[in-house]
Amino acid sequence: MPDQVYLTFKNIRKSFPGVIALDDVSLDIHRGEIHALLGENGAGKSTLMNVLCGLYHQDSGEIYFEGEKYEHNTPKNAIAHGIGMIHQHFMLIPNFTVLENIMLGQTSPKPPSLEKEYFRREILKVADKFGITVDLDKLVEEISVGMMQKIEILKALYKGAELLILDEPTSVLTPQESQELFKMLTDLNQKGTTIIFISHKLNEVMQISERISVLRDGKLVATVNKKDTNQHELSKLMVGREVIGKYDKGESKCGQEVLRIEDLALKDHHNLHRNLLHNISFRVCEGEIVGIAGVDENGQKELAEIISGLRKPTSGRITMFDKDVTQATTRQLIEMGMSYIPADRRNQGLVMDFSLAENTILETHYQKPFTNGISLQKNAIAKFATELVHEYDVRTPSINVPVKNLSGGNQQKVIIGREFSKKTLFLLVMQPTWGLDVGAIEYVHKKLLEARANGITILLISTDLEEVRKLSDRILVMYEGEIVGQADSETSIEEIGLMMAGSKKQAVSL
Amino acid sequence: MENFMMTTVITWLTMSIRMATPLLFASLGGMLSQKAGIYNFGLEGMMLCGAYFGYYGSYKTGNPWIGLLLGMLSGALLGLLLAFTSIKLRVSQLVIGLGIGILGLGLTSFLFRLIGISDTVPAATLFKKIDFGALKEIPFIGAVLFTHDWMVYFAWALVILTALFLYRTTQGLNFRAVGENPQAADTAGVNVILYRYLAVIVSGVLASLGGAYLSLTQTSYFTENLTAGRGWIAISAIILGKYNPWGVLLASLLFGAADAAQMQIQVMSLGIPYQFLLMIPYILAMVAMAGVVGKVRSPAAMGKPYIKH
Repeated sequence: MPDQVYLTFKNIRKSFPGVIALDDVSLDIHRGEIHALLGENGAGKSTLMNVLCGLYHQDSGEIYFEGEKYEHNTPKNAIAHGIGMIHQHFMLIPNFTVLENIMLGQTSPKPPSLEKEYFRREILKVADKFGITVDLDKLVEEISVGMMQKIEILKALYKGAELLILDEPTSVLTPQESQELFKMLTDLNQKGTTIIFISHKLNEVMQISERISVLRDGKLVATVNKKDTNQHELSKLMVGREVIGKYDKGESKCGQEVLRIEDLALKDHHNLHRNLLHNISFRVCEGEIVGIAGVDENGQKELAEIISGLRKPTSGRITMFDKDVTQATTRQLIEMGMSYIPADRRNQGLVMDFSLAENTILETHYQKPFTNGISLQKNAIAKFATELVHEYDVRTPSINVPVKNLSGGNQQKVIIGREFSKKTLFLLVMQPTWGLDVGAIEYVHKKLLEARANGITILLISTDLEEVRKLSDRILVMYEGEIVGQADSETSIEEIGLMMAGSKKQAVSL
Repeated sequence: MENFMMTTVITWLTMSIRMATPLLFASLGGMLSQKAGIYNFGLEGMMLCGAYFGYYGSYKTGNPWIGLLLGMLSGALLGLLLAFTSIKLRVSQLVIGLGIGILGLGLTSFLFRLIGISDTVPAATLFKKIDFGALKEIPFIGAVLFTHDWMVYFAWALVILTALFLYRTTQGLNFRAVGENPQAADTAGVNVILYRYLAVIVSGVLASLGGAYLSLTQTSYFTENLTAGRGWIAISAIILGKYNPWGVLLASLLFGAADAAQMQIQVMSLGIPYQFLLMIPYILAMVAMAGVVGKVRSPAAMGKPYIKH
C-alpha cells in the first residue's frame, strides 16, 4: 500500500542558540517506502529525526501519525509508536553483551528479575524472522562496526519498529559492508518496514530510496521521486549551485624521495600483544600526493602521530630528506619543513580559546618577528594574522575573536593558512574536510592541489574514499594497522573496498 | 606463647571486620553513585554527618535507632545536595564533592561544640551486640564471625543485595547503562535523571550509615573528625574493588585489616612510632590507586553530566 500517508511533519521549527536548525519543515512519509533525507552537514536532517525520536523538542509545529496528532515526543513514546532510530553514533554500551544491549529498557516478564533466557528466545525469534544472524553473548566491544549496525537494527526491530530511521549509516562502513546493509534494508522494506535514510551521499540515495527529500540550511528544498531525478540535479538542490565533480590535476612530477618509512611497528601501550601498526613500509616522492585510504580506526591516527613526531614507534625507521628522523621531535620536524594538518582540528589543530591571531603563530611564536626573545610582538602577529585572514579568505569579525567562534570551514582555513605560510616541503594532512560543507571542501581540495603543483609533497590520510581517489596520485590502503594494498585513481571502488575490508591483501614494499 | 599468638590473630581478625564495616557502607554507597555516572567525593562529609547525627539522636533520646534515622536523613540530604548540584546545575562533581567533604567536617565540629563541652563528653546509647548463643562458642570462627552487632551483618547483606540488584534485575541493568552511556539508556526509554538522583541519594544514606556505625556501635562518643579520612579511603576501596560489590567487600576488608593491624601494633608497643603505623591504610590506598590491581574499568560516563536538549 504505498502512497498511504504514514507520518506527517507540519511546519516544524527548531532553533539552537545562534542557529535555526529547522525552519518551517513540512514533509510526508508514506507507509512502506524508503525515503531518503538528503543534505549537507548541518542541513537539519538529523535534527528533524531527533525531534521525531524525542531527543529534542521542536519549538513549534506538529507531527501526525496516520492523521493523528503525535504529542509528547519522548524516546519511550517514540518506541511505543514503532519508531526505531539507528543513530550515527551507535547507542550501544561497549562492555555490555549484545543481549544486554538489546534488552536494555525492556520490561521483564517477571519483574524485577532480569530473565535473560526469556529475552534471548524472544530476540532470536525476531532475528530469525528478519534473517539476521547474531551472537548474543559477545561483548559489543568485540564485534565489528558492521555487526554493531546490525545489532542496532535488530534492537529496533525487536522493540517493534515499523519505521526505521538510519542516520548516515554508511559513514563507518566499507563499500562492501554498505552493499550488505542496502540488501538488508531492501529485505526489511519488502517485509513491510518503512525506512527513512539520512545521507549526504548522492549515489547511495539514488541506489536505495524511492522518494528523496532535500534539506538545505534547515529548509526543505524539494521532495522528488527517484525515477524523475538524477545525481546532478540532486547535488544542485543540495548545495544550491553547480558542483565540481572531478579535478583536473595534471600529471605528477614525481621527483626525489622525501619520506621513507621502513618496517614501522607500534605496540599497544596497554596490551603488548596487540599491534596497532605492523610492518609498514612506503615512500613518498617530491611533488606527489599519496593517499592512505581505510576505514576509521585502522591505525591511521597512530601512523600520523608517529610521522609528525608526537609518538615514537616501537620499531622501524623513518627517513625524511635523507635524514633519520625516527627519534626527532615535532619541532625539529617542523623546522625541517614538515607541516601537519591533524584530523581533530578542535583538539589538535587549534587552541579553541585562543584568538585567531594567537592560533596563527602556534608553531612559530618563538621565532622572529613574532618575538624579540622575551615578549611576543603584538604588531607583527597582528600584521601576519591580518594577511592570513585576507589571503585565505577567513570569514571572521576580527583577528582577536576566539577561534572557537568560527565555523568549521573557517577554522580549517586558519589551519591551512598557518601551515602554508611556513616554508613547507612535506605536508601531512589527515581528514582535511571532515564536517565541512561542499564549498569549504572544494576550497581545501583546491589548496592541496595548488600545493602539489608548487612541488610540495603531500601524504593525505582520509577515510573518505572519494576524497582520496580525487586527489591522490597513488593510494595505499590500511587495514588493522597494516598497509594491505596499493592502488591509483583508476582502480575501481570495489577493489579498494575489498582491501579496506581486509579481504584482499597484497604485499606492499618500498 | 602459642596461645598468645592465637588470641592476637583472633583479635586482629575481629577488629579487621569491625574496621572494615564503615568503609564497606561508604564504598558501597560511593560505588552505586559512580555506577550511575556521578562521582561522590563527598563520602567523608556524609560519613561525618551520619556519625554526628547518629550520636546526637541517640544521646538525646537514649534510642540508637532514632539516632540512626537522623544520621541517615542527614546523609540523604547531603546526597540530594550533591545530586541537585551535579545533575541539575551541572556543577563540577569534583568541586561539589570536595565541598561536601569539608562542609561535613566543619558542620559536625561546630554542632558538636554547640551542644556544650564539659569535662566529660556525654555518651550515646550504643547498639547491642547480637547474641548468637552456641555459635559464638565455635573455636576461632565463633569469636571472629559471631561477636558483632547487627550493622556488620547488615553491611554484608547489602553486598549481596547490591550484587543481585546490579546484575540480576532489569533495574540494575538500566542503572549500569545510565553510568556507561546515558544517551543510549535514554533512547531505550530509561529515565536517566531519576536513576541518577536515586543513586546519589542512596549513596549518601549508605555513607552516613558507615559514619553512624562508628558512633553508635564503636565509640559512643563523637569527636571532631571522628571518621579520620575513612571517606577518602572508601573512594580507593571502590577502585581497588573494581566497581564490583564483592570486590568492594574484599577491598574494605583489606583496608580494615590494615587499620586493625595498625591499632594492634600500637598496643603491642614494638617501639615503632605510632605515626608510621597510622600511615599503613593510606599507603595501601595509594598503592591500590597506583594501579597494582591492573586495569580498572570505570563506568564510561562517570563525571559527565547528561545534557538533554
